[in-house]
Amino acid sequence: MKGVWHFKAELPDGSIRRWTADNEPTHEGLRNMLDVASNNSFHGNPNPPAPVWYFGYIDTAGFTTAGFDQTDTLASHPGWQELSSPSRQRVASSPFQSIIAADGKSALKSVFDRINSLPGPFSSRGILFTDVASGSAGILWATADYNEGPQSLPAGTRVTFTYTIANNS
Amino acid sequence: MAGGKPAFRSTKGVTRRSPKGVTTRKIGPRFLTADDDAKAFSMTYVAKRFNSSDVLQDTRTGSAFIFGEGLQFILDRTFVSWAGFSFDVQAFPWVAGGPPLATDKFADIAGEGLPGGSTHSMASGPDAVGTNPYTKGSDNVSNMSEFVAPATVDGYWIESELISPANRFLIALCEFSSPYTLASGDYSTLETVWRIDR
Repeated sequence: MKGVWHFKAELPDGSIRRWTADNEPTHEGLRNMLDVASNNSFHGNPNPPAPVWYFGYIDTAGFTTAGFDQTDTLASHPGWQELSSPSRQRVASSPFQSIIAADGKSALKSVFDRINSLPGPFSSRGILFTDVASGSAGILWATADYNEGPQSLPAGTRVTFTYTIANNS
Repeated sequence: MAGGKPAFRSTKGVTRRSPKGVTTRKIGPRFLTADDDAKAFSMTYVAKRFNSSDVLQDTRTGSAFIFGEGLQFILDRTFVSWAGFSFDVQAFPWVAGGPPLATDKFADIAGEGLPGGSTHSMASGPDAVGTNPYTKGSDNVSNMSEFVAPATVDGYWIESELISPANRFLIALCEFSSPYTLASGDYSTLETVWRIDR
């Protein structure tokens, strides 16, 4: 269940910066996917899908040798800390269904959004993907470490991101 | 991921320099290919045939064939597209009429073997468990009692159905290595284990 985040930042000076992050689903993220997909709604499905997803920025500071871990949850992630500003951003409802490869053995789904005028400056080294706008009472579906290293962004930066997740058989 | 090779590569372009002097890379997502040593979603099954005295007559086990729209449904169901809708995961008997294709849609199965009996809702199973990989099982489909007349069963379809608006997604086909025949009074059960890998 791999995926990749593509970021495009338009800085206040007019320059463009792009970077990526490879998606790493957590244990609870994969459990959530199975529960949502396979439970029977008409038999009292206890695991309806999340109606909204959010992403948040992970602070460059406070990152420890524990780093990102598959067992991380919103309530417990000893290797990193989340930035409080910018706050988590709601991912726009997916405007289209996923697409299937010509041979039918792989599917891709992308969500994207554009964030205007982020507060700043701030520095982050990755992102998190969750179903709650704030707090720790939700699913930490995935984390991702920037492939190009920590990113420092000035106030007023506009960020466009695309998140693509792949499922194959 | 089953092997050491990454399932998703993001660097298919080259580094270049923008007019303003900012280093960027041209990148884009791509589908997984046969070269990628990874299987994100898979399913195994155990089908059993019993007689009217509840005595086990046949067992079939194997790995299910996965359909592309099943892969699509799992993504869409999780990530917003079908949030708020109630789906019914079902299985129904398959009488082979042609090979299944990963590109099949629900309408295509008419040419490959119409179901030989009614559909059966799958019981709501236990929550997903395990560390990597994750599994969810065993959902049961039982009491296929409408096979009152002798019928040959080549396998079972598994689909997810939305009643309104009408929509059906093929997820998998449990294709038996050899068929079994349900005699009058026989019934069968089907257990599936859904598996997902990183």
